[in-house]
Amino acid sequence: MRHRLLPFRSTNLAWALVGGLVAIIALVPILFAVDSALRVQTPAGLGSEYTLANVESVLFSAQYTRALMRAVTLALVVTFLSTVVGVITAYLISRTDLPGKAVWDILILTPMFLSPFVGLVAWITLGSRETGMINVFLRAVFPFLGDRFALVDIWTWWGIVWVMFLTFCPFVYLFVQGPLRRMDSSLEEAARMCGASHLSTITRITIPLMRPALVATILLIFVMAVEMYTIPGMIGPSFGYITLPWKIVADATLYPIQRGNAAAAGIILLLITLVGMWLQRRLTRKAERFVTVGGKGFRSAPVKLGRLKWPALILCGAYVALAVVLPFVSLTVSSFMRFSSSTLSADIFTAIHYREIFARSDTFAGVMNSIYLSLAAGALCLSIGFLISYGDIKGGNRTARVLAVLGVLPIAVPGFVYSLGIMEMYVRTVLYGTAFVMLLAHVAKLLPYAILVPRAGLLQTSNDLEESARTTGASWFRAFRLVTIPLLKPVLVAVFFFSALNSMKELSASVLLYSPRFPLLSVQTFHATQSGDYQLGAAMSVVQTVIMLAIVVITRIVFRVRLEKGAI
Amino acid sequence: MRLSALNALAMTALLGLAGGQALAQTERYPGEQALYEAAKPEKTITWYFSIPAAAARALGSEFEQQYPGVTVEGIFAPSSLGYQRFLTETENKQYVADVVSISDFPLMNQLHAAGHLMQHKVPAFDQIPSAFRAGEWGYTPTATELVVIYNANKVTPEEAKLLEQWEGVLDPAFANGRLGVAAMRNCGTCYAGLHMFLDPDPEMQKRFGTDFLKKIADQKPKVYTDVIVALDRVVAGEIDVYFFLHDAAANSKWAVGAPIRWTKPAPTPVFGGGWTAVSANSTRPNGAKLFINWLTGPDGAAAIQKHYGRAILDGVADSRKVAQEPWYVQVKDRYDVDFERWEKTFISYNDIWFDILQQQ
Repeated sequence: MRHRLLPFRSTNLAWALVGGLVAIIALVPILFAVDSALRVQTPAGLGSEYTLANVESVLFSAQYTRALMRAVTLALVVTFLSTVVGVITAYLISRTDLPGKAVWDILILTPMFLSPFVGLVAWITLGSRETGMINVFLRAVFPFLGDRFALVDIWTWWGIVWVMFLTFCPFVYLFVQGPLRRMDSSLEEAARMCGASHLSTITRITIPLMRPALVATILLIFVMAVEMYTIPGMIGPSFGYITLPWKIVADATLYPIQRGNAAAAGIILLLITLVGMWLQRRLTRKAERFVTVGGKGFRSAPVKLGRLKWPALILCGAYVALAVVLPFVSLTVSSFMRFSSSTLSADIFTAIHYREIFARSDTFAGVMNSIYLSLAAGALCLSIGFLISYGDIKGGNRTARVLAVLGVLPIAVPGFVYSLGIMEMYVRTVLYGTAFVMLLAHVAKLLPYAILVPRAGLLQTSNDLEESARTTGASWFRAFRLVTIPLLKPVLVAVFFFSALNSMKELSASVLLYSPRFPLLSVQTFHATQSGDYQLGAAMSVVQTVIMLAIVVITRIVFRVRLEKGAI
Repeated sequence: MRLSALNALAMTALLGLAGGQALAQTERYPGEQALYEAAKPEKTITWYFSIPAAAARALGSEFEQQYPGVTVEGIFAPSSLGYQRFLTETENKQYVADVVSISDFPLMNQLHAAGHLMQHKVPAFDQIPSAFRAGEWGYTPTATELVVIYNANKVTPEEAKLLEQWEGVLDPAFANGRLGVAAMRNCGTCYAGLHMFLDPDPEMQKRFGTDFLKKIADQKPKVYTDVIVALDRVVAGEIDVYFFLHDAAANSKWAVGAPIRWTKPAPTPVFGGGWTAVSANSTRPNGAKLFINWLTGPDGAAAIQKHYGRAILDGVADSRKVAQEPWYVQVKDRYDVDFERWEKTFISYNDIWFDILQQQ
């Protein structure tokens, strides 16, 4: 006889509270976005009357459909590249005997610490045709290449793909490495004993077992890529390449404001994402097919790389050099410069930007507030997201099942449109202008990831262990605390990292809700870069990176996650 | 200990009194002291600004030094972002901003038409040229002057001479990647250039018009959607010449040592780019009025020239360091923009320009 995993009667009230909270913080802003899509547009903004004109003008406009196709194409290419490289690096670090796993693990996550805009600025400094550090260096070292030689040019379509790929690859790694580590290697070993090659084992055993994590990751990366406006928006128009997210931001923020069009276009992206979410649930609907952590105990013995060790090290090293070392060197050098320059001389360097960060009370407060907010948002997202996913997959709870769909919807609305909805919502409350609103906004924006990411880990875990604990007299809470949570620790840590780090970088809602009484580092960095002070912005980004790195290292110590030992 | 605390309190009170008396004796305009006294209990004002954050902070500090006890909280909300935030808040009775500055006049005009801005005649009203004020509610303390910026390490003196005329950018010397241009809808400065080049006046059409824009596109310029990125690229030497940019932005980079210079070809579009007004629903109206009076007055003009760009107040000389440079020129032939036409043609002129660039 199966135990019900959650004591439902006693938790009905709790579910009602969670349901109410999710409905308010996640759904109401979407309703405001839908409302905006249906309102008459006036030169001053939105009118009070309703119309379908915005939806029609977006749906039947060649300009919008072309921009949508471009966004989808770009997202598909970026998702493919990021997934391939992210999964390979995650496999090498999580499942093989690659030397230096702990160091690789941190290094591969490091690009996540940069906002896409700051990453782009770093690559503009590195990869511009005439003055990019890479081209200047090559021309200086190899004069025979000529004065016009350029190995890289970031101001191209491939430049957009490159910077987006570097932005999303660490997310793939983060989402996939937990499930990979928890996978029982006995199935793979059995395949090998039956004569299957490395490649065949991976393609026929490992990847099918990883399907929930892979599907969720691909969906998340695609959605994030299709909504990305900073990188394509900054580079694309230089050669006439306008994508839908950039068009949406332009409509929502630039004069003359066309918020109705922006919201209507946002709803198109919502529909695309809904299809993706439906596919994800459909592909992973039979949970027991993906169970790799059951009651029989499992081993996660590392795969021996043998002759492949050096190629694997070179692959990881090349990725780290391109995604971590070069951009961070570029940023750090920029942060000590008075202005951008391709020729370096002593008089161009200064420490004034760092002095400013720590001498100004508001920037120092911004640093501290960002830390507090990111930790709180990370903890809240983890708690609510995991509870919903657990209730949906393990508890068979109807409320949780509904919340698992509704709570993910904000992911589908372009960040800026959703943030305008958040502002519209909170501006009507007495909470407006407080730090609490900022926290709720961050939780609403990051909750979809906190719901989707643990899903894969939960699908991999059999109910047997928890049921055994219940059978031997443990309460539901005790079984949950002592069995389920330890089993899912890497996944939960990944969710916390993701939520906390993205909260620290979050911009679209933060800019709209910003109050000088609660300064945030991300908004101050935005203010510096938007004011043209890239060097101060670079210094702030370096500080932000150091903080994020510290959060990652400290959290790993606190949660005792040690990849190099291959143990949970 | 108690004694020294009491002494400190007494000294502070005496200094405050002395300061207040000094201000009373040297009122810059009638009623200044009374306004200051009324602003003190309000303590803080909130200013939505669209100029660079560092410049706004410096202006706020200068004001606070002149009026101790009244502090300025600034929120950087460039252009439409500031407009949307202010409008949404006001419509929902969240009166956060006391003073609002927006770079686009049409947006500011819409706020005024909706009754969200206060009628307030500033003391320096008569010193503000009419092009830089709107009724008795909106004022722009700085002028946006369109310039052609170049990297002095990459452009020869002979080439720089060419850039003193608008037609100079068409010289073959600037073809194939040396020139950068803007194609962005959030940039009044960028539009101001189009506003002049597409001016329906026959003389202007003959000299510029769409043919001129097509010739620029034939130069195969690099196109930027962010004026700040474009400026940074000239500073770094990625492109040699760029327009459209404004004098204050160029000056901010020159002031820290960037190897750039700029010309102001005639006629030069000049317009108010920092429209500022007091919120009709300001919860700290005395502080707000005190601030806008200061910002639009001689002291504000001096502070603006120290920390940002050219002030517009009549009788205030250009005291900026850059103005002393031998290569620097003041505007010789000013082209005043027509804000009515601006409002009507903002989209269509931008579309013409984007289409021309797409076809290059």
